Amino acid sequence: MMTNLFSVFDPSAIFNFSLNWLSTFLGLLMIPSIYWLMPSRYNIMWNSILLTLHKEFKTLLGPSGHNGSTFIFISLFSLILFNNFMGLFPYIFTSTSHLTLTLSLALPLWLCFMLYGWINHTQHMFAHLVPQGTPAILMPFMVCIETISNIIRPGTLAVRLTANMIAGHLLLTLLGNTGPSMSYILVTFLLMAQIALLVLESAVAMIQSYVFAVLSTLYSSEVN
Amino acid sequence: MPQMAPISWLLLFIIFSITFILFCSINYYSYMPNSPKSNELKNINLNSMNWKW
Repeated sequence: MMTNLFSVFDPSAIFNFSLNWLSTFLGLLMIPSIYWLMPSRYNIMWNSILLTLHKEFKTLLGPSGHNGSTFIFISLFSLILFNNFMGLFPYIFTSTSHLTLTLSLALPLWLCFMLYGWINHTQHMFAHLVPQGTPAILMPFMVCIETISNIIRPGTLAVRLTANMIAGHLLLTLLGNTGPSMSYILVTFLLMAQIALLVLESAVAMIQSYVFAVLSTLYSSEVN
Repeated sequence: MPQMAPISWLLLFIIFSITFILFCSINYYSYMPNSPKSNELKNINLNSMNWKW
């Protein structure tokens, strides 16, 4: 029963444990492990995805990036991707629709970048507060704006992902709940609309995980 | 809204950190073994008399 519009996202408890959070681990089962010596097609596909992402993030990090620093962002991408995507299936809890997960990924990452940047490249970080070509009158404002944008980054990163997931699931549930009181002709249209929405949501699931990874890559490239 | 409710945040933070580390480790070990190709295989004359294949 829908007691509240947002009750589809309620973490439900079984035997007093919130076992629904275990759906975060689902991705671990989906990633092909290398227990088997012969690579399957799925294995090859996953490896090519990782390699493509590695090349993509390497160009984003630029020449000053350290070797292998794309790895953490690729893992971040895969974690969020599987959480987003598996959440679209019925009876699977979407962990990424909660700020707890997104913030616990975004906040430590941002904190690490900030600490690294301000300790190791203090001059560089101060220089970033005023972008190139700023008129002298605007400089105090630019410092304020850049400082604020620096501070709210983990929040925006987390809220962007969460809001996208919530919006998609809400749309699907709201449309689906109108089904029982509809005539048969309208239900066919509803079904078509739901399928179209589901396709859109699966696209959003992939795009948002990519956006999260790319933005955190960009933030990391800014501090060194 | 349950999304904002601070229900066992510290525990969940630890769980998600562990999950992230698990994802990292499973991605770290995934690689593509490249199998060496033999040169002799190219010279095999496949002049089969079998009509079917």
